Amino acid sequence: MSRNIVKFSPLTEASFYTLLALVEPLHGYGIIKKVEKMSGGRVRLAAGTLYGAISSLLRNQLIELVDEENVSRKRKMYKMTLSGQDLINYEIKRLQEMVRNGLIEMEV
Amino acid sequence: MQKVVKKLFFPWNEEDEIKFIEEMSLKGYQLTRVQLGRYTFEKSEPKRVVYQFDFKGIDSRDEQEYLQLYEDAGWNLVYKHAGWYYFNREWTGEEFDLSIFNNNRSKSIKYKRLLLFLLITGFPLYYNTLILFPALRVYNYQMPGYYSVFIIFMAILTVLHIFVVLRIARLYWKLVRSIKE
Repeated sequence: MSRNIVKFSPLTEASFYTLLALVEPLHGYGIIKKVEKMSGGRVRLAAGTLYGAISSLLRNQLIELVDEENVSRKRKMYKMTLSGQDLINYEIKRLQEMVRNGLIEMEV
Repeated sequence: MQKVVKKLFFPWNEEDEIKFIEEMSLKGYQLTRVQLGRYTFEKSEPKRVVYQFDFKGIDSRDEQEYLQLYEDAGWNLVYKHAGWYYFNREWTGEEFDLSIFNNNRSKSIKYKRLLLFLLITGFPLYYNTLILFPALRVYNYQMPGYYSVFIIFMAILTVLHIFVVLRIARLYWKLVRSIKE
């Protein structure tokens, strides 16, 4: 792991989905649409929450701006960094463990 | 036709402020301008419009992106005033949460920004009343007569400012405490 990313865990649902959506370069509205689709319409990221999630992910270098040269200036594109990937992988393992234990203990 | 309503709301009365503006809209008055304690409306068709306010502060480096995001998400910027952004959107009847925040964590950051803004802009006031004025008294300067009135005015302003800061801090802590963790 490139640096200590465990300190960012657990991510909120909004931050997790924002980060996850950015495996491919997207702008803000693209993230909203993709997350809505991924979650079967359950998660609709609200504008203020998404703005906060993007700012904090950027500040912690978990996502980065995509080269602005051939992208329209109005909408900035973001994508996951290597640290972001590490964090998502860590979260996936953590959530898997939680789901597994939940299923075992509740005998679903 | 314009209609001006004088009404004072504080950040901890935001629900009431939203209700007031939304009811005006239902009566056929659409908000066009907000100043402290003064709301300007324009006569229109009565319609159901949803309002939300965000405090972004006066840092406008990423304002374009910020506004674009709100616009893409379906929000119109109605007016911006002293770091506050007033957004609205027409009610479409779709049943989903029309808040600009999904959770209290992101909502609390709005009040953190507001607190920071108030403390920075309030600093000259605090400096005057708490440091400068007591210091002048020690040196026993000869002051003109209106000076004491000025000091009393500043002292009242400081007390009000502290009151507002404490109320918003309470709001902030309430949101932070309610974050599930």
